[in-house]
Amino acid sequence: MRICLIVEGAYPYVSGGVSSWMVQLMKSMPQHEFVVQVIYAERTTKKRKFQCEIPDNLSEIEEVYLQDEDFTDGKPKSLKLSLEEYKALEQLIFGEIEDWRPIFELFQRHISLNQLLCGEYFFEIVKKYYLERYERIAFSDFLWTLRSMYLPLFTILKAPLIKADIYHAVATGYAGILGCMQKMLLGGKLIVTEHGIYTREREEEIIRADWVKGVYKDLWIEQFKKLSQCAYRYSNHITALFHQASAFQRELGCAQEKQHVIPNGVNAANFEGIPQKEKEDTDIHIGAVLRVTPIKDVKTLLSAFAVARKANEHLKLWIMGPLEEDPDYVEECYRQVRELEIPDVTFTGKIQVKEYIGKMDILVLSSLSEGQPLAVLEGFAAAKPFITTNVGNCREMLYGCDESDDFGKAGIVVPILGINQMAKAMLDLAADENRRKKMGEAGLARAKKYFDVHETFRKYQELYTK
Amino acid sequence: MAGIHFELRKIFKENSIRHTVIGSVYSTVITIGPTLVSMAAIFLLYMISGFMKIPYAQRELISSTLLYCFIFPVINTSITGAVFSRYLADKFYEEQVEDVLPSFYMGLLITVAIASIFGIPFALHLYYVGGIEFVFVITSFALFMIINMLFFTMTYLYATKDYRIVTTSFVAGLITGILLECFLQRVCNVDIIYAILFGITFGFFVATVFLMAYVKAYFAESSNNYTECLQYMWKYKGLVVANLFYFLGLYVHNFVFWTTPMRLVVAKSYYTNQPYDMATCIALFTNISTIIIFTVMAETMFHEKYQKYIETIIGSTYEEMNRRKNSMFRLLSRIISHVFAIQIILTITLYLIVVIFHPQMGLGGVTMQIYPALAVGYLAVFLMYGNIVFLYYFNDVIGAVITSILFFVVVLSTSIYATQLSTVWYGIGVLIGALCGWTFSFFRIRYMERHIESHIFCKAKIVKENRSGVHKVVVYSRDKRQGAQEKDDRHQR
Repeated sequence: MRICLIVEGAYPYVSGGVSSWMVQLMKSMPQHEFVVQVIYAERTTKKRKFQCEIPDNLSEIEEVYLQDEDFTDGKPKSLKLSLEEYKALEQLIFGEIEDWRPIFELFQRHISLNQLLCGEYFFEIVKKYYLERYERIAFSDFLWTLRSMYLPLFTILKAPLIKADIYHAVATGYAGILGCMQKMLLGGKLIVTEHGIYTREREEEIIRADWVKGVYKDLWIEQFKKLSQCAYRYSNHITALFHQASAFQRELGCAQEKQHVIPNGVNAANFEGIPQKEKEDTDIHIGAVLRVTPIKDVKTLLSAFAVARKANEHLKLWIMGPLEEDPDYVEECYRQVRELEIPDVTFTGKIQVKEYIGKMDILVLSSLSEGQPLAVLEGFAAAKPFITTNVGNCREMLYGCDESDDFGKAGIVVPILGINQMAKAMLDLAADENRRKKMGEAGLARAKKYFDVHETFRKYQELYTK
Repeated sequence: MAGIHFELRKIFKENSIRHTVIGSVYSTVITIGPTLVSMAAIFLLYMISGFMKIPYAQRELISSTLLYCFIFPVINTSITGAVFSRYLADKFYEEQVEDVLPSFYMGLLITVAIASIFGIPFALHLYYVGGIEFVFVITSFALFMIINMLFFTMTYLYATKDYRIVTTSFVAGLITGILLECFLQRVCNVDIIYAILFGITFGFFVATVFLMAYVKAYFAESSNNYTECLQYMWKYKGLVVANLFYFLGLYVHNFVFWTTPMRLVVAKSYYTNQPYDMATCIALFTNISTIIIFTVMAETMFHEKYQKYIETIIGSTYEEMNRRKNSMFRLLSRIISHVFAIQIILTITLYLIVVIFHPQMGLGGVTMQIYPALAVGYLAVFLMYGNIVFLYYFNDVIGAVITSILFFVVVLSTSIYATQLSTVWYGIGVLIGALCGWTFSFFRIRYMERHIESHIFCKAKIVKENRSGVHKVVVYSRDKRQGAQEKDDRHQR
């Protein structure tokens, strides 16, 4: 079976939860051939460095871009849309699209994007849309915003297709759209796995963003909703990592009969016998396995550690993860350490998690947004107590998945940006070795029962063959 | 004529007879001032020198030389004029004034080069075949080149908005020319035709040097960016074509009649048709006020409406944009009908004056037979020119190109046909050509009225084009990797 994994801005260039999950998935099914279609912002002249393992059954990795040149086969002929294509385009812009096939077929003709976006068809539709719904705002801004809004979508829709038996999009959004198009035009099955809720994540980003203002925030949010709804409509199966995420998907229009909850998994056996802290070491080691990027909110972690370190001189912080993704942010973190004069903070860079994680007394995750973080599962497998912010599925992971889960607390959940609460949690756990041990054991037991990696990928295998 | 609307608006803001007169004089100076000054100077030279006393052959030689030295530079500079005018406007808008001086030099070079391509063979022909003395030939050639440079320089002078310096330089140059002619003729006893030729050449030389020096001083900073204006010529080739064919159409009927048996051949080189050329000249001056009236109306009223419409495109609602658009096109229709209404009265009046006083003006019967059709024809030509200017406002280069080519082709073909008709119909080519051009441009304006939004908003390119086809970007291939590995293994073995 040939499976095409479609991913946006992650594997193989960014290590982290989604990329690790993909590697695990491919390695768990050596009988299948995998190809990866990775969506990136734009092409570069320099070859990007792979940050992840390439399994033997991965035959090809192809890049597609959101911003690219307007590729056509020779000089583009003047653009003529059929009535069906025009109607579909109109419905797409009005957010009332019923059938995406004419849209997919239109762009696979490799039409000129300049001719479409700057042509009369698009202009007339946008004008109609504007006059019906937004006639009080400046027209030219509206027109240009819509052009720039549809450019990445239309660029993706011109991407070369890959023939596969199964298309597995690792998000809705552009990955989902690409999956829908390939399924519809080449046949096969489409599975969509959402590690986070794409629409919600983009909505949060847009609400916070400075580059988009006023009514245009609504337009962008609507745009991402359209993409997700397309993926929900055309996919055969949609998976979420936990029940709450599944409920969000239903709210956004996903049909219940397509839904499955497949949590992430960890192989606890792999963590047996990992190196532990020296017995004579009296320091308390706090570890954070994360990429040093804004979404992980390392600055809050550093501030919380600074507060805790003042109260307990034995605390040491280890920030374990790649530093290459956002060098500016890394520099800001270094500056914060210098300016606040925080002692005993080590940025290790990318490491082999198993070599370090056993030596930690406490693990921390300070993220602003997560689904069901693999870092937490690995902490559980290493039997370490965890402090996490209240994001994604973290509360359920730490405090219990459902009523039948009586393993007890596996750590402490603190609010997002809660510096003092995080510092207090560090101090509380540092002061009570027995509590740490109990929490670690609870986490390990929970991981074995609810987050077993074999069970996870057995379920995906089931979906593939269903 | 960048910036003239500011001056004109200032003048016409005061709604009094005095200000109307000042405004009209100002517009006249701007539009046809240099031409009037030049003609007055030449006429004065003829009077002072006793031109009518010299033999007919010599008289025709000097007249033909001057005719050629003025007509062909107009056509030549029409190639560069519109594009360089556009280049200047863009550079002012982008505040990159340091690019202006290099473009001036490059434009001069192009103008001189094209003038030389046609001028040198003609001068050689005049010397070897026509048997004209070397000094006369070389001075005529110099005058031809000077006029070419002068006409090109005018484009830049309009951009400086200092119309006083233009008129002053012309007056100063031509006074110098007249004084030199008097000195040569009366003190040095030089032949009259040489004295006239030297006087005129030196006069224009002085005016041209003053004006070029003024341009150089005005745009003192130079970026040494000489080539960008050449890219403009390619980018705006439509403007080159439109402008060139308009001016060719303006003169092509004369060229046709220079081939008929009525023609006069001087020195086996100069072909003219005196009655037809004279009729053309009077017809042109009968209607030249159309350009003045149009300039005043377009630059004062229309420019403002146009600017307001353009402003709404940038940051207004569609409703407001539409309101401004309708208001602009209503005014445009009013201008077309007003210019026609005013000019028709002026044309009839001037026509009657010419008809009544033609014996006193020294105009022959044949000229007067040709004149009526050409008078009506030139009215239509200038009205058509107004439409072309409107098309330029809307950046409709294609419309302008079609109008001017249509005008040229119809004038040429109907003029060839008209050579076989009776004298009164000789000028019908200009009339029919101009009517065709006007009709097309009028309906093109109406088309623009209906499609101006898509014309404005649908011309852009949002992303860079690449015609090499859509290709897969494979960044990893197991087969290739295995292939490479096997190759390495073999190599090692």
